[in-house]
Amino acid sequence: MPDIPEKSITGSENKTYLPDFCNADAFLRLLLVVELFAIVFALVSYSGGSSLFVHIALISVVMLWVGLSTAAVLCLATRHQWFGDHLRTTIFAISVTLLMTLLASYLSLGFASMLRFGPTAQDVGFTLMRNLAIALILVGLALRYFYLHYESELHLQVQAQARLQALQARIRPHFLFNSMNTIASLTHDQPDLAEHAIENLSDLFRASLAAEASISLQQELELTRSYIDLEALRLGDRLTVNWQLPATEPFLTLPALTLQPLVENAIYHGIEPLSEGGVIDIVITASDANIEISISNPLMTEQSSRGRKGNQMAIENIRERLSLAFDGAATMDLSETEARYTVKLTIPTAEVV
Amino acid sequence: MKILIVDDEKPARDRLARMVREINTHELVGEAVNGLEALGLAQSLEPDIVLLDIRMPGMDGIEAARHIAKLDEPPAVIFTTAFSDHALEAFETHAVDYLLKPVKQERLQAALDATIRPTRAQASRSDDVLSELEPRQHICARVRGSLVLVPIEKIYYFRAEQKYVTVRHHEGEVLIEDPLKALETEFGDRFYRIHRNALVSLSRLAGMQSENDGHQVTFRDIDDSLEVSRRHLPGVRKIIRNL
Repeated sequence: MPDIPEKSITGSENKTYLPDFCNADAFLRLLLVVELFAIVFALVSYSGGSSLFVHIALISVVMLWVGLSTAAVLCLATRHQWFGDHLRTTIFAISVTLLMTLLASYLSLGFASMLRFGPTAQDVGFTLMRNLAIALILVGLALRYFYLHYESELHLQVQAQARLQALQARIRPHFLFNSMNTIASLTHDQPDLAEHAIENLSDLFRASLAAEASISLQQELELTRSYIDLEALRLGDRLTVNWQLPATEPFLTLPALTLQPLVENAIYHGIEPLSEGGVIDIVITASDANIEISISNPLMTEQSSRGRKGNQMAIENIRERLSLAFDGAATMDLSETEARYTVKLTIPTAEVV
Repeated sequence: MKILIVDDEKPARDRLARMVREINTHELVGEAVNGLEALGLAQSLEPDIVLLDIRMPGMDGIEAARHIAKLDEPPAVIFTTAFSDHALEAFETHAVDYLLKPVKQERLQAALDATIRPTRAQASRSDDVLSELEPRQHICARVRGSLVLVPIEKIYYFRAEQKYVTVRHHEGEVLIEDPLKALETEFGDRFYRIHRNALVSLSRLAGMQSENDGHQVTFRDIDDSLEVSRRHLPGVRKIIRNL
């Protein structure tokens, strides 16, 4: 199947690799890290003399001030989208940090000399340089961390997207070519049926190639019916499908191609291996909280199942997509009773996909 | 040439039938919907060529082809399939031909025209190729000129005699020509060798008894017992313990 041109997965047009410092959570975490570094520096530089706590407090004030003011500026910058590419973002963040460090150092030096303690005048230059060096190293580390974090997140997103696409492209080649063969046969003898089959096949491929992740239950049922119509042409009276739908079709949005592959599995494993064919039950019931969809097929015997494996993959994929779409609130149960195999989906109606 | 079409899907049969009828040099003699029926018709209609679908319920095309290869005058087999999975790669280097569905008229004509009925030796060579794919579900034997199929799960044991192998099953015995060694390779996970001349079904084994220096295994539901050779005794003991 051809690759689908990807829409921007990253959405990086106006996104930076920095976290959103306007977010209270990120802000608090930044403060905590800065304070921890302040304590480390205080402990390292403490050489007796004045009280340790005063020492920690002085260093904390300076460093917190730098952290807070830098975060505030970066928050503003994010809000107003001052960032361009990653390079400009980096230069901007470093400049702001250094500027704030310079400012804080000056203020603290002035404050200290006013109170007649702290470094003497000849140490001022050294202190400034030292503070700037520390700030530069710390901001460098922080930016590197943010960038790696951003990259791994991006990677995960791309992976998830790729898997989704591979999944939607997953139509069994046997199904495609058998359908084509059926159509080739009907074209001669029953052109009307052939035309209808082509329409159905188109609908299925359109859905599996479409980028949109979710559709209404009604649309999904239509796709499933298109699929069953195609298989019925091929399998003839070996395939019987029993539908049980609620009086009014419930409103529900769900990931595209959730039901159809389950019915495909049911036919592939439950009907095709049986010479005499069998019955597939599709039952949908709606309560206030949930919609239940169950699909069951005759359970294959060991002999008839030979050479047919690998439905676990499709099952796991659907489970994953449901879990993503409904935040884990949708469930899928597999059960074997007597001579039948049943897959039951329970989907909450309140949730919006 | 006389042609038999085998496919479980009616549209697929219809299409091939129409295409064969359009070729004047060949004659369509019958259609079958699965491997079992194909085997019966291959005997009664004596076609020259069988167009055989691979994926079918009941007995699939691969197994049907292996039984067909054992007929007295085996027809040529051309597989038809919707998608070339890796199993088919094995055929490419051998005499067995295959067609991809939907089959093109020129391709079908070329394949039919190129086909010559194989000799028995050639047919059994193609059986060798196919036997690497999957064990059969049935043993096929000839009794008074007609084929008898015995499902593997109904077999108690294989016992080699001079020229033939006796297959003991739930309703009696049949003779086949397969060497015991080949049967052991094919059904090694369901049968166990207890003697130079015998393989027994693990699921039919009941126990072991010793009588005047010798050991015999016994079976469920039947009174037969078979001698266990000294060499295979430890292995059989272990299996009996785990029954």
